[in-house]
Amino acid sequence: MVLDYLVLQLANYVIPATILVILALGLDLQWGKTGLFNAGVAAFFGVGAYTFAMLTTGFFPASGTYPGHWGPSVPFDLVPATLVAMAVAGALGVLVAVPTLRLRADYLAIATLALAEIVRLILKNERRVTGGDTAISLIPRPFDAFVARGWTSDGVLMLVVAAVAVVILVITERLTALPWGRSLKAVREDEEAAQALGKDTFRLKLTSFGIGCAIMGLAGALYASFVGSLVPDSFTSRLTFTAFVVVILGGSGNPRGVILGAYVFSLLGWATQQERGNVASISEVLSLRLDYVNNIVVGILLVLFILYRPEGMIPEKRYVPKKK
Amino acid sequence: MKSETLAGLLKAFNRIPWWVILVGTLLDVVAIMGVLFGRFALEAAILGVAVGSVYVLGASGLSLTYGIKKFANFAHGDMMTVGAYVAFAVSDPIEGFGANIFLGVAVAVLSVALLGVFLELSIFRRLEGRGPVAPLIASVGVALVLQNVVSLVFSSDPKHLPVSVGPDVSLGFGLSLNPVQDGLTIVVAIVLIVFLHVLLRYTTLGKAMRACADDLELSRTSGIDTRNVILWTWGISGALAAVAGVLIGIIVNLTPFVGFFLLLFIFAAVIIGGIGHPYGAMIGGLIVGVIQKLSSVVLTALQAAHVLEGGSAYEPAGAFLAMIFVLLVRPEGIMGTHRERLGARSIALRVRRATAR
Amino acid sequence: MTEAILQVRDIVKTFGGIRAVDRCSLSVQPETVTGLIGPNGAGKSTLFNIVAGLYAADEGEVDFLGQRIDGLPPYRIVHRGIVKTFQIPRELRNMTVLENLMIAAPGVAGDSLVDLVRRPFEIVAGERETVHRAEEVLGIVGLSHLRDEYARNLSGGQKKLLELARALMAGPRLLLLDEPVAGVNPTLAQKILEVIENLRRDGLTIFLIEHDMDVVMRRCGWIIVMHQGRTLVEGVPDDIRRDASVIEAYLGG
Repeated sequence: MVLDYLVLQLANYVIPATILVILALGLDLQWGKTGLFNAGVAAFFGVGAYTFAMLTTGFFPASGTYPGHWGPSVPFDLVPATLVAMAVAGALGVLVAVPTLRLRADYLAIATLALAEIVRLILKNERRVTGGDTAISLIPRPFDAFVARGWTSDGVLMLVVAAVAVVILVITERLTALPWGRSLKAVREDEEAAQALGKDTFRLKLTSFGIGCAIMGLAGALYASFVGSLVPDSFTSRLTFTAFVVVILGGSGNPRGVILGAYVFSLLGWATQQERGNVASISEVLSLRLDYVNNIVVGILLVLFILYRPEGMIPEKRYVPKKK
Repeated sequence: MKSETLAGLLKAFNRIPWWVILVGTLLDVVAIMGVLFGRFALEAAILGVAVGSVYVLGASGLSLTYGIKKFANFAHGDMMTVGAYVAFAVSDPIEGFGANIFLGVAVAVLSVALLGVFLELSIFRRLEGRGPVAPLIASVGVALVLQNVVSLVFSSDPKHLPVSVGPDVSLGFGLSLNPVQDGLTIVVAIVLIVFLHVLLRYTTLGKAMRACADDLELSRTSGIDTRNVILWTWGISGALAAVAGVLIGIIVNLTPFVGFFLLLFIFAAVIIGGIGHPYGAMIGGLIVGVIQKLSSVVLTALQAAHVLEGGSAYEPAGAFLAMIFVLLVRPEGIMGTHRERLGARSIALRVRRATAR
Repeated sequence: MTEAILQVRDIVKTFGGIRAVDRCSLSVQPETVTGLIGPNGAGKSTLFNIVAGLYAADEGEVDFLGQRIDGLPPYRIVHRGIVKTFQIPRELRNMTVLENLMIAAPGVAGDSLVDLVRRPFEIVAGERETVHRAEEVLGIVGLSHLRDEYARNLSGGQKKLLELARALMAGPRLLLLDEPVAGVNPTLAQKILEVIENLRRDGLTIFLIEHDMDVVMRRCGWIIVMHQGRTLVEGVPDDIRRDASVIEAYLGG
């Protein structure tokens, strides 16, 4: 059916883009609002994805070439699995944060980058636990019942992901509108001054980091459901970089900017994919070259933005309460 | 034991310089490993020195710019890659100009040195005063551009520098090393360390570089042309990166991402040694290499004992954990000063946010 | 004699090889404006930082309202009632003047995420009240017209006022002012000093570091002189003005 095809095309753009929005919102809380350079985004995203996958597919013993993976003997339902995935990612975030948050921003970046790489190595090499390089497959999607009735699976997932994104958006906006959010901004601006004004900056940084990581875990769970099968090499620093590009170019500290950044960035990727798909005679080499050019453009944009428009496309909104 | 004797012992212990304790601990570790793992440990240690030599070259260049510009240059790995590919382009008989490999190295050194200067003039100079994060992000952008330009021009197929690598040579004890790959690396690393030492200790430029790394403002007001010194630092850093890249191209197959892959190891070396202390970076490089290879031995044993499945695939984790340990316990590194220790914290300075508006 | 609001006992602080504070002891009486003076390098700012918790003393004790506060982290000391301003203003650059003040408000509902559970209904009302209070304080220091301006756009003098306003907002019992009128034009300085005097009348204790002798002599009820890391003399302005050891300290350096 033509409609199915259109929905598929749309979903292949909207779903990853929206998952990216959620991921970037988590990062925006940490980096945009609190000034914490979390270069380990991929790890929390990956941990969320793998936790969700293992919980929803259940235990799988080793068989043939498949090393098997851990999981409960009875697979979890999707919602509890998602919540656990968020909790695990958040807990990992707190664990990482406690020793590292007192480090200066660039040291924190390097430390979290190294930790993320260690996590990826674990995902890849503990094959009995995670299936290693052989993907965990058959990850279920939500509302299979509707799909049985004729809705497209992609369409349903698209709606679910969009709904989750809206919820996360609302939650993060409300949280940052609180005095708590204002304290985060103070930590970002001048941590010592914030302390001198009575803020427990360590606790603020810790909670912000933990919540941000939980949101990243949520994005990971959705991603796992979307792709259906996971490989550890999807969770490299490339992913972390993408999240930062979205936040920095879109607008750090402004959710609208983050959304814009995510959709524009995904458009670039989606467009090149369409190019490749449509032009049948396009050679492998040329399509790779498109990728390279794509990346060069992103790199140049990043440098230009840092130089001339560090606040991003849509800068943080100014706080102006109504005058009496 | 009487409490007075204990107190006396502790006092004596506190008086021993910390570096003696460090060296002593390392030697003990190596000795224990030797006992536990036999020749594997020795093999690993030697291999670690060879690997570490590459890190030393990468780290000393990075340490120079980190020390004087106060930011982590994430493009350094890709500057190494560029150096390797320029040498390839000049010297490869099939895809390049087929010239002498030494000419290739010379052109590579010059190119990357100029690249470093160009980057400073066009980008990093304009980001001064905005804290350590803004130029870090910019350098990530630069890294991305460099990687992909190389991919575009040379494709991502693995290349090899046209240097004939002889057969491995046996050293007895069942150990074998490759004279060209490992030996050359160690020799070149030593030569460059000596060069750097002479430069920093005995030349005017070197002394100016050290002064600027220590206190830029003071150096400027003392009459040093800091802008010039910074440009020279970038040039030398680029030159070191190029040499490191060429060596990598000899040891392993060259891909556009080879430099970036090494970046975390090089950061580990710089951090363990002490940011901004080139001698520290050298020590750090060797330590990272040795720890990496020694941990491989331990990990293989853990794999055999079914504790961890990955075995030596976790080798990088050993090096990274060492770096993280240092960051948490002694962030200023081996050769760092107390002032740098304070500077490593998030609140010791007024840190301006990277995207300062 | 009333009990001192702040008691500093034998504080020692060394940086590298230098003893910035060398067994310093002093006390501050409540509801006074007490001045802390001394030549450069006497250790005054360091002592302030120690009292405020930004530095940890190597030795010694600090008591506030009869309780020990040395070793506490800065934010706890603020909660106890001591607020310190910075010599060079540290405004929160990319936040508005109003936000800068609101940050300083103590005990606001919604400051901790737990409040979402414990007292959710107070949050909105509390926010409105904080805005109101902040606008009041802005009125006192005369920055109302800059309420929605980003703090980074303020002039030096305005930043100094903001620094003071933020300290007021925090509702302290003891205010540590580090050179409140340094580098400020005379009219503005006058205004700041009037605000300080009004605060004292309202029951606040003010302990200030200042180099302008005129200001110190005219505005302080009690003066403590520090030299080479410890207290030299203390007394009323007239006595200090005539004290030989003080004059020598300043001349000799």
